[in-house]
Amino acid sequence: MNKYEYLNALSNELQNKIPADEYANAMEYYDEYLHDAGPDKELEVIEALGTPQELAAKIIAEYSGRQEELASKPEKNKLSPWVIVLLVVLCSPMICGVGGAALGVAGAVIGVFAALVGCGVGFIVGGVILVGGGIGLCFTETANGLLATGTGFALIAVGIGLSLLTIVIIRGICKLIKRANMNRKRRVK
Amino acid sequence: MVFQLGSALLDACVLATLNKGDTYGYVLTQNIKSIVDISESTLYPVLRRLQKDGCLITYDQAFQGRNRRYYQITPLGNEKLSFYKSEWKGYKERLDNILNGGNTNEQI
Repeated sequence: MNKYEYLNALSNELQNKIPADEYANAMEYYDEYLHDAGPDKELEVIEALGTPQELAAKIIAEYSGRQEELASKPEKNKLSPWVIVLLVVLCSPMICGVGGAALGVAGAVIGVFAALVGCGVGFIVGGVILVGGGIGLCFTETANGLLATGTGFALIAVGIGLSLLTIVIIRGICKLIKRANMNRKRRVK
Repeated sequence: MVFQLGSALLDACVLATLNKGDTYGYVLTQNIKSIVDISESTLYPVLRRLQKDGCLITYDQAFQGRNRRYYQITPLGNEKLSFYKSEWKGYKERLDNILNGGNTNEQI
């Protein structure tokens, strides 16, 4: 077989088995190769290349292998920004509802807290004023003065009680937060 | 020739040869054939893959009325070559170590 016969046979084996650009590339390569071998080496090379069928099979197999490699690479998850926007819009009623509820709960907690603090402070201040006024009143209207002073002290006591309660609650929350953090760190380890 | 080259080392040899200068298919094959045992058809898939990976480019030049396709290494190809060379250095050292009886005290 001379190189023209060989290349013709190779062309027939390859054509329509691989894409046009691959076919052209392979034919170009071996056409050049056989010509560069020169008349003296030509037969030796044709022998070494194997039959046109064998060479074609090799070329086709290599191309398929490359395609498989490309196909097996996992495609990155492409989430287009438009999809994200759409998702947010669709979920917005739920987001608003849940968000509103969360704000409400937060507001309630703050409110209760403020009430505790306010009452505590208010009672103490009110109590002190009442004690002061009561002692003063003792000099003129003793009974009323004693009543006022007594009530004043009672208010101070309640105020201090509420303040202590607030402090205990704050400490308790801090402890819970610390414990939650430690649990998280322990789990991670 | 006793030992066979794996595909990575083949890539490295091709890139190293191209690094010395652009060349065409037949000469490239003969150069590498003089060093390692490869067949006439070994390099075509190697060159095709290196091209698809961007490690080399081709350009055509007319020669005696015919077309001759030259292969040229790219900067990416150079990076790949440096990587292969450093990997080879480590691999060679570890092989020498075993062949020269190293690591005899370690029980497997």
